[in-house]
Amino acid sequence: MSLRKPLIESALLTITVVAVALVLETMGVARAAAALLLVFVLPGRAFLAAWFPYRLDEAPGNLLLTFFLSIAIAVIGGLVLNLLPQGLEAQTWAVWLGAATIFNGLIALLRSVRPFPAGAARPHFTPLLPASQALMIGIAVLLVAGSLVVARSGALNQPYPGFTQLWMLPADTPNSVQIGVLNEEGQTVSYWLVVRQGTTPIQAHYDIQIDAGGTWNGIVSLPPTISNTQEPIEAQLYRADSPNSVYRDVSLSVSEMGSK
Amino acid sequence: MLCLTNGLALLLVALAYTASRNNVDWAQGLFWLSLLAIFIPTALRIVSPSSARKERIALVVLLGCSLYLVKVLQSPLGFTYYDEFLHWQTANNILNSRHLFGANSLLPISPLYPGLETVTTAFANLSGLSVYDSGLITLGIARIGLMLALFLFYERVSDSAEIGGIAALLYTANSNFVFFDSQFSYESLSLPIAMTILYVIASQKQEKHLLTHVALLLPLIALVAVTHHLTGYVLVGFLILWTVAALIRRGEPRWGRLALIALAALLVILGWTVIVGNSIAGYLTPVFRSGINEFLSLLSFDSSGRELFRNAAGQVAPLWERVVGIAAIICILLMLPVGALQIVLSPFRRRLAFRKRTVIPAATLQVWYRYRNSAAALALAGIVLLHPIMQGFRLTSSGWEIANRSSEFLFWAIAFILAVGVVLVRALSIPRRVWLIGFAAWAGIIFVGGAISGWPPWARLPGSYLVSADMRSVEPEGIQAAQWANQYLPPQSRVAADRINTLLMSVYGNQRAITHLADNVYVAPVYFSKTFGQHEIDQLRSAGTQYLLVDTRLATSLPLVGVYFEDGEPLANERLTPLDPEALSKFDAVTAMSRIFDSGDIRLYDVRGLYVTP
Repeated sequence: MSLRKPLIESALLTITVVAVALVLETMGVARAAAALLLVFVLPGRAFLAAWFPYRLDEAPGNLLLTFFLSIAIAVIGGLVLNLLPQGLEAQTWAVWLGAATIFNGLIALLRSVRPFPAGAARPHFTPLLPASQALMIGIAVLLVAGSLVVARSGALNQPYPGFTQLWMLPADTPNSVQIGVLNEEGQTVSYWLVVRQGTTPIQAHYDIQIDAGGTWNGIVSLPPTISNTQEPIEAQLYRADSPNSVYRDVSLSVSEMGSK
Repeated sequence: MLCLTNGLALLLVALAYTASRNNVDWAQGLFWLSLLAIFIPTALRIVSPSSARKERIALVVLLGCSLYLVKVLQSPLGFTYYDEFLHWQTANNILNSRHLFGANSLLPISPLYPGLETVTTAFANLSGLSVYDSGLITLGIARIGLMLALFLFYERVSDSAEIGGIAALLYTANSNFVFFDSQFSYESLSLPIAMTILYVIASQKQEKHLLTHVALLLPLIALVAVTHHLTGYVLVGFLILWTVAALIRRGEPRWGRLALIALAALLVILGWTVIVGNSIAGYLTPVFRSGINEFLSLLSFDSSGRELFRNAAGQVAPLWERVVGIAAIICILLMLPVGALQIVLSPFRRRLAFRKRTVIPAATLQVWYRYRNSAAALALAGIVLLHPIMQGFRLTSSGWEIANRSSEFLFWAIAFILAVGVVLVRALSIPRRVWLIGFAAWAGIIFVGGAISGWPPWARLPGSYLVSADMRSVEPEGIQAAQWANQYLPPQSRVAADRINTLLMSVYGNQRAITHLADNVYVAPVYFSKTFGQHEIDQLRSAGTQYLLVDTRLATSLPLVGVYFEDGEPLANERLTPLDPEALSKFDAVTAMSRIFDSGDIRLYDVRGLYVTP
């Protein structure tokens, strides 16, 4: 009796169990690799081995069907899990994909235990690639990784015009507003902030210095007379190096003070 | 060795992108050279008669993956294509709600076809990776599958690994291969599955029994049905055509089996459409109706049509791009009859009288004989007749999208017929060097011409901000404004915004974007109006607007994609001057609107005060 196929099926069943454990209990590369197997490889491979074992003989077709049958099992599983209150989450996915793989894998295991044909040559393992080709592929993978690093670095360092965010919203405490400034100018900037209602100044800050990427937040209490007029509360931001022109300008109508 | 050259070429692509981000002139040139450095050496090796089957398979997979990475390198930090945001939102909804079919106002049909998003979020849930990383891996696997499926299907139909390899190679020359079908969108997954279905049908010798054949196909057909409407309909159409061809040719697979498979596909795909995706007609019909109407008026000389190689902002593509784009069409049209005639005339192989009167070489007759019983080949030959018609659609504004989107389906057939033609031409007594140079030039033109006609120049490389230019409009100020909304505004507040900020506010901001597709109301006229009065208030109220976002950069240029907000807005694709800046600044004078956010170019208004009755 040939032990090769049963051994392969048993190994795949073991890998399935380990993959389920890894996606539920670990983080990082091990978890990602296990998830990759569990979503894209193992369910389809087990399905093929159980019901269409003759399809495993041709490597490219086997790989193709393994991928897309795995995806089909995942998507059909998504429709099933959608009916459950827990829905689609790591645990339910692991159970569905693990169960589908183990069910089909067991059938494949049972079907694979067959007498070895008399006189047939025993299969032997040969390396997939000669060492020189494997080396070339390894270098190519490094080049692709380098391309990704270059592309990511280029995207992260792409020159964009700098900007500053100014915002104002009603605060949690009554009769007050929260104001925020975010500096994305690419350098430390000094700001002036003036809060007023019409021509009536309410508060001013002339010492706001924010590092690149930094924020400033403040709560401004409003005078009790605020509701006597319909004029909006206005916050104006100036750059300290250009104090004559309003750089950013936000406003809040008095009717908004009660809503958040 | 080709692994190495492709790796180096990808490094050059990354450098070209980085250069383009820094507005360096030679970036475009380096980009095209890099693409050719990927395509040409691989093409020459695939077409070589000395290549073994395994090598051809490895090469087509290598080529497909390399071209996929060309797109990945373009957006290495997150999805940036317009369609990607639509599906990203659906995926986010699934992750957040843990259930399918949640509403997505960006593209209401997307949650009804959640195949891609389901498998992506399954992987994201299990791996702990982001939707972006999970999507890239899912699409990478889909791309490997697509190339394998193309090769295996063409190989089965032609009974030749050589034609399988060349056809798969030429498929990459379709105008949507490099960019559109590499994006995080449902078609990028459905296309490989559909091709896999065709391969499984074509390899029926492995499935002795009809029931097992159908049993293997059903999960795949269901997957297409759940993933993408249009791919499903094209698949059913092709299966019906294949069945008819099998009736004519009486070859393998037998027409009865094909008819049953086509019927199963029809039931599953239409069943899903009727039961779940029933709003598809309202989504697709307007596109086809306006495209066909424009095409008909073009034929009757009632309209002058769309000017080729000119975008909505009036920019004209460089001369070399126009030349190569047209040359690619000519190269395809020259070779198509060569391949198609071989397939259509192949039954004459058995007519002795015909054979005696011809001086056709034996090798050619052998090729003809190959297709004598191939119904699939005949069906593919029939499909290429649509190619010239679709080129006509490119001359219309609305039909352009139909023509462009049909490319990846028509190339199922075109790639195969071209490959048959290539093999026939190679059988002629052409000196090897001349043949190799000629083939490299011909295939290179088709490949570059396809990439040119499918994706506008400004979209091929990253770079500085452009107005309403999809990925070129996605930049830090807009993203950070949306992230601010995510932090400070109530989730799913109804926000009106332009085309790009709608995407950002939805995906990064967790806000409910107001769209015509979901709300059946246009907010664009509120922005376009020079005054703000009761009419505009009523429009905002009818859309349920809570916040209104204004991006003042819109007034600096015409929209590159033809619209500032949505298809169907006033003056869509017809603007001659940019939006009036005063139209955008008019909101500052409305005291009932609170300008709660200002980042220079982007302002956000709380408009709920407009609806308060004094």
